[in-house]
Amino acid sequence: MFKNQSIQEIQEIILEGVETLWLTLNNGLGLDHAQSYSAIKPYLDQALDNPLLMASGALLLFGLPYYLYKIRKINQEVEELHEKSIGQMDFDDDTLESSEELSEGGFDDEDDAHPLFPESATTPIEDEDTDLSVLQQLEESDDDDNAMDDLQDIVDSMESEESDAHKNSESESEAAMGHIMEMAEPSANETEDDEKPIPTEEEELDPVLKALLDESLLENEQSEAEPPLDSGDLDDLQDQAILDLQAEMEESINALQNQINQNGTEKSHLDKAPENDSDPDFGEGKSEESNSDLTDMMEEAFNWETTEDSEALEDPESQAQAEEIRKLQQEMEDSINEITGQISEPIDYNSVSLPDTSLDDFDDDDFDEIVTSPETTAEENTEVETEKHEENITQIKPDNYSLEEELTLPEDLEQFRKSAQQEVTDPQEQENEDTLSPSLEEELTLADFDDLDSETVEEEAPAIPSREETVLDEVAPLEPEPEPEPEPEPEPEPEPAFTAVSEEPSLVEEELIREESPVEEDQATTEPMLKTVVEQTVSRKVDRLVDRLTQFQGQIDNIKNLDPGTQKALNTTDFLKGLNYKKAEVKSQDIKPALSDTEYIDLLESFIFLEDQNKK
Amino acid sequence: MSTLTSTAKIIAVGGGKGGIGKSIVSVNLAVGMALAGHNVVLVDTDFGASNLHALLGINNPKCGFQDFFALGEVSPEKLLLDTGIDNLKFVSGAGDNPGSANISQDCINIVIDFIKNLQADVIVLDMGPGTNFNVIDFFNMSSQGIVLSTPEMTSVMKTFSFIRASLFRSINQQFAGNPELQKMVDHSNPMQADMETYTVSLLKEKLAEIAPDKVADVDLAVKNFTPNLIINRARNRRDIHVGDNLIRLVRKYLNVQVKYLGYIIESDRVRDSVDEMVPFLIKDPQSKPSENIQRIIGSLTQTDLHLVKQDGNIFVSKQVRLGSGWNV
Repeated sequence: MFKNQSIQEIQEIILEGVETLWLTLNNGLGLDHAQSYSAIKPYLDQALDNPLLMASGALLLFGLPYYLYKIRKINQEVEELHEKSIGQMDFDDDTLESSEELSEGGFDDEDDAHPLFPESATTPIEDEDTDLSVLQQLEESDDDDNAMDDLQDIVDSMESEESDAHKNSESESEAAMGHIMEMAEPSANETEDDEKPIPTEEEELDPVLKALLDESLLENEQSEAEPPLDSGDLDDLQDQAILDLQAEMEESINALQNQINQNGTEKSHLDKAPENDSDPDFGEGKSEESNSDLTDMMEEAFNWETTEDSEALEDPESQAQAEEIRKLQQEMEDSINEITGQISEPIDYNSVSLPDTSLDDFDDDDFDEIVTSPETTAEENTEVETEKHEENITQIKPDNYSLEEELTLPEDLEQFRKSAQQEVTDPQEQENEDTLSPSLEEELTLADFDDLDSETVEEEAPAIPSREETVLDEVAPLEPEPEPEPEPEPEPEPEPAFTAVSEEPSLVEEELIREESPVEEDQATTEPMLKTVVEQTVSRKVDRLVDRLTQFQGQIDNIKNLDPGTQKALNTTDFLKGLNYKKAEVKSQDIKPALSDTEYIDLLESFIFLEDQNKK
Repeated sequence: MSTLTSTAKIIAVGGGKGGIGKSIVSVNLAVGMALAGHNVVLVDTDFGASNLHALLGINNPKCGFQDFFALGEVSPEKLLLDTGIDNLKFVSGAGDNPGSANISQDCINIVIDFIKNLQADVIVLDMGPGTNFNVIDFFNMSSQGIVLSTPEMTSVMKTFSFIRASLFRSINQQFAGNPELQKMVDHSNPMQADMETYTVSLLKEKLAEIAPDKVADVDLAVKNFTPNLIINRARNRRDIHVGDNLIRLVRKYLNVQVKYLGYIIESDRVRDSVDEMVPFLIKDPQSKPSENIQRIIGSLTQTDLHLVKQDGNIFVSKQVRLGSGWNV
């Protein structure tokens, strides 16, 4: 009985919900068919009474759309796979005859007339009879062991297609490969672990195919001269920044490895072949070598410690170089991960710049009033006055200044890279930079960086945040666009405005470009650290200022929150007497200005003549 | 007292209170009349604080009344200074002599003789503040005395006192040779003055008891005493109406008929003209204060005067009213 009652209650609730939904739809859509619910209500009652009908109804409601969606998605993926496979076949010499047959019209017109999805049904080559290899490939794709091989085949076919059709620029390929590596990293890790559940076909294909599709998107984005920066879409910027960073890293690593290989490590050349496959430059025609193992390639991209360098490098000199490279790679990876984490963090420079805008609105007088509150001592006042400029530096000017100052050009990167490749960095110096304290940047002055060039990594890395503070300390108060920076290279980027709106994307841009530069170990390690130092300094000063403001506001609130009696007492004479005011005795007659002529003349008479005279 | 050899009309601008604009009004009246074609001599009789030359833009007057007093004999032509304005001459009272405000009665008489012998159509006297004889004598020598007042109560009171003092000074001169009667109207010495005769009615009542034949002289003096009134710095109609009340008050206690010449409104243009040392009638003849001055001049000279400034030149239109007796 209890169960029946509860079921009835549930049914009533369902009915009420359906009725409410129906009425809401009617109201929302402006339909005047509220009575039509009464027509379907008996059917609802009947369906609710019968569990079988209810279950079938629920199945129809939820299962059917899901089923349709699933079928549609599977078909789409199969068709895409067909396209890729056929595209691969087009470049295969063995399938020349079949392709000729296909080109003669050996395809089904019905497929073209009734495509499942018009977007994907573009090629007439989807004849199952002539594309047995594709079906076989599809069957093999279900096989867990050969999944990555198939993917590699598809990728290689696409690579060859691209390399033959149009030779893309190196940077585009790097970016694409970086994206591929990023997307493929989890899948590679999954294949490494045999215990893990085998991913389905679509899960395996999605990262690679998406990467290939994203490659074209990257081309467009790069050709548009960084419009996302202006759009202000921070997420896109972050993603692109990560991709660019990885691509840059890949390029630099490969360059270093090539240099090492050219130095005489012939043995390691073959072993490094998979690693060279990770080079995004696919136009070298090494697709056969790259067929070895995609998982290894992807693993090598980031797992620097498991490379074969240690095994192959028998020459002590090359071994040392390999050791340096390994260190460099490790540090770069760490820095990239750190940067990525910082970028992905919601609280970034934007959060630091929030008080900047509020502080911009502050007049100096207001600021002085606040900081020279009665509770602040003289030392605090002097300290605050000295800090006021620093606040202006770190909160008003530095953003803009650092933007212009730290914008690293491609030429800079190239020069930086070359110099870094030529010289082996000193670990001791690196340690010194790692132990760079915030006090160092405070001690640095503008003169220290006047002759600053991008000569060495050790000099430039610490200079960036220091110059922000010191230079702006001298310039900050009045000049809106002072450029005392000793940066020798011209800047292709337009100067960012001082407004907060344009600062944010520019900040991101500057930060991203700055992060691209750490090709070398020093910059990779010091820049994030210095950035954090700058952030800490800024945030510390902002916090201090905010604390003082809060304190002052608290005092005002205390006065405001006084009870009416106390407030009234503040306005009384006693309060004024307490402030050394003395009451003046004043006796005056209330003489109102004369309104009429008679009154005016009487008033005049009273002042002109004496009292006795007036009586007369 | 020298005989009057000049036929010039003497217009004295005075007022009891200082800082009410006597000098500015004097200068602009003289300039307006000069522009209207009259030969005008502007005389600065404020010996203690003469600054009329500054209003005309004359830095260092070559000669003035101080030289006249010091040297004894200075040709009157030397005292007449050019102002740069046609028909307008200027006699300065400038001289950095601390005691110049307390010149003797002889000096006053010398100056009065000098003025009376000036050959001009109109002589405009800029008088100093106060009601002392050095001031009042110059006022009483005028054929058309102008008392200036501002709408403030203090200024009106002082203006009344100035009119009364001037009237009683003229009555006093009528009683010359009779010290007892002069004492009744001489309030310059409080210890000796009869403080009960502070109005014309009281004076006549007392005179009727002591010297009834002198009452007619008082009436004649009162009748001949016809000051004109200008309210300066008027800001509204109420201020303008202050002149009417003052006239009513003077008539009530002094039996004197004061003619209300007009008013001059308060304007920054007046202040600017002072700063620029150019009379506002020349600087901007079409401004409101200039129009007021022109109307006052029209009332004084029974003419309709209209000045227009165009391209830096001032064009004058003057129409003489019929039967006015002023240069007809």
